Order: sequence, then structure tokens, then C-alpha cells
Amino acid sequence: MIDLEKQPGFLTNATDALAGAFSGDGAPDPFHDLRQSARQSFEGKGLPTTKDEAWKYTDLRAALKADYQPADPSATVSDETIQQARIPGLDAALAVVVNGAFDAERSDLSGLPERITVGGLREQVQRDPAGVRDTFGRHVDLDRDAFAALNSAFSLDGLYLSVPRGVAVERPIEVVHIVTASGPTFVQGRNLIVVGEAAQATVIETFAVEGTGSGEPAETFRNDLTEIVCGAAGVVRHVRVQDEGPDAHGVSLVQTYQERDSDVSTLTFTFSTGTVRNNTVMVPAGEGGQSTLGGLYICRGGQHVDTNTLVDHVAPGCQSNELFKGIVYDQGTGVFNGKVFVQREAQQTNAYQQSQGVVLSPEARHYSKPELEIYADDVKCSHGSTTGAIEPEHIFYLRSRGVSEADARAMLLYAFAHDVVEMVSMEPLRDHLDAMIAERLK
Amino acid sequence: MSLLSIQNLHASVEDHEILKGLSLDVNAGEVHAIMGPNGSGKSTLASVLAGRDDYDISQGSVTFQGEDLLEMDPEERTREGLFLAFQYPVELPGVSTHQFLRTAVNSVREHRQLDELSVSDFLKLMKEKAEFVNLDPKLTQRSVNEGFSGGEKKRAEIFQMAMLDPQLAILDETDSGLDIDALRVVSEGINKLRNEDRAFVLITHYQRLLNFIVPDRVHVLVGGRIVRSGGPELAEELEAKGYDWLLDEAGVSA
Repeated sequence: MIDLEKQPGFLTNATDALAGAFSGDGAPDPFHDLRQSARQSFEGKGLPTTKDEAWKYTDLRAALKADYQPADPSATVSDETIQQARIPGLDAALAVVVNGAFDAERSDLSGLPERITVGGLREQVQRDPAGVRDTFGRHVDLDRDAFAALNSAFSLDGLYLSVPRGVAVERPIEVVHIVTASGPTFVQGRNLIVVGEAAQATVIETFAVEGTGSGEPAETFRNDLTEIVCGAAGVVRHVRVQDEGPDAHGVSLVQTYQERDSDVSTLTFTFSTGTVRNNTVMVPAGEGGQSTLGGLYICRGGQHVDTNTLVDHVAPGCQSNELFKGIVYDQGTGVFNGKVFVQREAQQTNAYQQSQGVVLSPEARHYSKPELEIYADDVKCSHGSTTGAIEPEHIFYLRSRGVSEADARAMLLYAFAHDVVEMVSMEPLRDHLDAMIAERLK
Repeated sequence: MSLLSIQNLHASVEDHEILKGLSLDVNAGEVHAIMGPNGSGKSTLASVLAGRDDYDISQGSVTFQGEDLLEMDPEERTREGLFLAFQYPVELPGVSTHQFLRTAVNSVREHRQLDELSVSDFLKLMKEKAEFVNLDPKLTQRSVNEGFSGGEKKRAEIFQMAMLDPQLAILDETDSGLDIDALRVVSEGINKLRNEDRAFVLITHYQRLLNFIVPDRVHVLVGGRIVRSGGPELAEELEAKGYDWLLDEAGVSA
């Protein structure tokens, strides 16, 4: 897949499909230029290899080996699959995305304020190309990221959410991404979330794979890109829950761009997956911004989860707060590479980064690489990174009170993991995450 | 039969022998104080009894209620009725005191073939025991020992002891790092838990704890052995004369 030598037609076919999809009423693809440059960027760079410093610990070859076919955006899924992918007890609007395409019929967007726009990205492009153009792909550095370039060149559809100035959307929007296919499938998802001045939105993304017929869920490779653009004093809460099973691989990028006094948080919880690389890039670009990023990954079997973050402080007086935790069992691998840039102009930056890994088997691996680059002189930055086993003294303390060793371990790991759940404000989602953690630690 | 019987115990850590033939018998209802200078093996004794696995036992035996204690896992010892109050109780951020103690109490109850406590009975028990040992109930709402002062940690240990209702409690330097008021509160808690069935082993460097808790027997541990035993008056003698005279007698240099 995406081996251009073996499959020279892959990109061309995809391009043709796209041209058709976006021309709709015969109008030209408004992103023709972006797609061209993205394609050139991707073809020029090719896929990253472990020789790239940023991909040192993540070898995608095995995950990309299957004979992936592009996902069929016209496919449909069962209600059961949708319901299973939802957060129990969460009162939220529902946006369903099947094989990368927004499914209006299966979505339930009731209870949302009238003035907001939420729906398919493709439809929105046709309705208001100029409006989408203002934000779409604007803050993503395609030269830095081949997968973002690939997504920008060939993604078909996705979710579009726009909240106008001053509107606070209290009801969370739950975006359920489902891949349905009978064979190995490559799917690209794209979300564009634009929150205006003093506006507010909460978006929760969950992911699932449905096998067709009686078959087992197919092997999948996702390449997702979520852009969050937040206006002055706006607030965005974004949470992702990845749990599609060991045959689901993927690369994702969450890119945020924030204006003055805005407050954006993006959290990623990764349970059962295959080889996954999650990139987060946050740019607090106006004075007084707050950026929060965090995540938890619990790897079992041969699961590989690589978290790569960049917080780019370009404006003064902003605060960033980062917390990632990993628990690695069996032959699993966890990677954390977090970079914080404080540019010369970004005085009075307050940047805090913490990453912790717990390694529970001799064959499990956890790599952690915090990087701070500071060019301003009046800043407060700190980072901490620990990787290790559970403290034997902690286990002994619990056992000395009659608690079994297994229960002691579970209690300590749960406490370790729950710390990240504390960053989530919605009660039903917290409960759901706690339950998933408890289940995953068994 | 003694509740606890230690015979000729030899224990070493990393090939360094610390306990060199220690013997001690404790009967139900008795309070024994084990005193000794730093490095004499006091904490090693506590650790070996509680089941810390950093120690090699090369010789000797320990029986608890007639059973071989050294064969038991740490949790099994506790379920059988042994309790160690730690010298340095650990902080466990994120581990709720409720959840932890409920698991602990029910593990012990299950072992004693008692029914699991319901949540409401458990909360009642917790409230009762917290009052009994004078522990601010707010502390039980927090994570285990998280952000507790030194005195609060020690008091929480006594509270946990009361919750688990042991036959034998070993207190490892529970008095260290406490000011006189905290020491008084902790001692009161311990005194309230004294009864004719329960025994205590107080491990301490200083005599001052024994101003509040009067022991039945005092033993002096020097060089990994008990070199002298006596009544409460022995503690006073140690307070007045220090340990040096016993070190000389035992042929051990401090």
C-alpha cells in the first residue's frame, strides 16, 4: 500500500475519485492548489522510516504490509456498531463518520444551537468554499509531516464544525468513526473544528471497526487529521478514545491553533490498537492562551503506541500543560517524544510537561524523550520524565495490609492511569474511561 | 504456646548478616519493647516479620500462632493477624483510602471466614475507628497518606491497625519524627487497642515512647541479638546510661 513503485496507480486513482467527489455540481475543487502541493510534498518525502529522528522507534513497515484498499465512502454500518462505539450515559449530539465520510442519516445533531454549523466537510466545501478555505489546512506544516500531506492530498470527507462568535455549545458532540470493510482497508479521516471568538465547543471522538458479514474485522490503517482553530477567548475540549482492536493501525495528527486568551485541551486515550502514531501540535498563537494536552496508553501484546507532541509557544504570556502516561505489558512498546518550543517573542511563557511510563514485562519497552527549546529569557518551563516498574515498596505496603499482590498492582496501576482521566471534565466520560482502564488492566 | 516465637533467627541482606541468632517469645496480651542503637537490627527484625523479601534467612525459625510465619506471603501474615506499622508509611497518590481499606478489611474477613462488609457497614466501621484513634475523618477521604504530615501518617497507621484488628502489632519506630503532642495522641491510640488478646512489639530507639505506653518486657537488641531483657525499669536504665555499656558488654563496637 502507498508503495508508489508497486502501485503507481494508487495516488492517481485516488485523485480522480477526489476530483469527482469535490466537483459535485461541476465546480472546481477549491483545494486544487493545496492538494497539488500536498501531493508533491508527500511524493517528495515518501513515508518516514526509522532513519528519521522523529520516527526512530516506530517502524511502520509491518503495519503497512497488508494489501490495503481505499475505504468505500458510500458504505453503511449497522446501528449496533454505532451504539457500541458510543460513550454510555453521555448526553451528546452524534456525528457518524463511515469510512471517512460523514453519514448525515445516521447522525443525530438535535439539541445543538441553531447558529452553529455541523456536518460533512465535503458538503461544506461545496456550500461555502471560501469560508472553509480560510481555515482548512492553514496551520498544518505539510513539509514536516508526510502523513498530513497525504491526508491533505487525498482525504475525501470528514466532519466540519463551526461555532460562531459568542456561542457556547454546551452539549458535547460525539463523533463516531467507523471503518467497515471485508478486506484490509486504508481510510483517511479529516475534521475541521472552527470555534469563534468567545465561543465554546466539546468534541469527543471514538473509533471502531466493523467486519462485513460474518467476517472478523479487517485490518485497517487510518490516517487522520484534525484541525482545531480557536478564536480569541474561545474554549475547546477535545477527547479521543482509540480502542478498535489489535489489527487497527494508524497515524493521526491533531493540530490546534489558538488566538488570544483561548483555552484548548486535547486528550487521547489509547486502549486496544495495533501500531499507532499519535501526533499533536499545539500553537498558542495569541497572548494569554492556555493549551492542555495529555493522554494515556495501555499497550498489551505486540501493540505499539507512539506519542509525538509539539507545543510551539510563539506568543507571550501563554501557558501549556502536558501530561502523558503509558503502561506497557507483554511485548508492547510505548514511545513519548514531546517537544516544547519557546520562541524569542514568547516571554512569560509557563510550560509544564510530564511523561511517565510503567513497564511491566522484560520484553516491554518504553522510550521517552522530552525536548525543551527555549529562546526567551523570562519563562517558567519544567519537564519531568520517568520510566520504570511499579515501586516494590508501594506493592509491599498494600500487601502488608492484607491486599493480594494482584489487587495491589491493579490498585496502583489504576491510580497511575486515573490521573489522566482527571483532566476530563465530563462525568459519564470519566466513568467510561475509568471502567475501560479497569478492564484493560485485568 | 506463645503467640509469636522467634528462635535463633539469622537474617542477612546481600551477604551481610544483620540478625545473628535472635530469640524472642511474645504471649497474647503482652507488650514488648525492643530497643537498641542504630544499626543493631531493629528494622530488619520488623521487615523479616512482615515478610519483606530482601532478606535471606539462613537459620532459625519464626512461628506465629503455631504456624511457620516465614513460609507465608506478606498478605497472608496480615490475614492471619499480624500487623506492621511502618516507620516510613508510603504515600499512594490516586489510591483512595476507602477503596484500599475496604479491599484490605474484606481480604482479612474472607480469610477469617466472615462475610464481606457492605459499603454502609464499612463506612460505619471506618468512622468508629477513626474516632477511636482520634484521626481526623477528613484524612480518610483522601488518597492513601497523600500529603499527610509525619504525625498524620503515624496516626493513620494506628487507624489502619484498628481497622484490621490484628492479634499482634509490630510498630517500627512509630515514635520517630513525632513531637510530644503527636506522640501522646499516637500512644493513646495504641493504649486503647491494648487488650488481653492482642500483643504488641514496639521497636524504638528512644525511651520516651515508653513514658506513654508501659511495656511488660523490654529487650535490648545489639549486634543482631537480644543481649538483655527486663521489665520497664530497663528502659529507664538505658535512658540514663545510653547503650554504650551494653555494647561493651556484648563486645560490639558502636
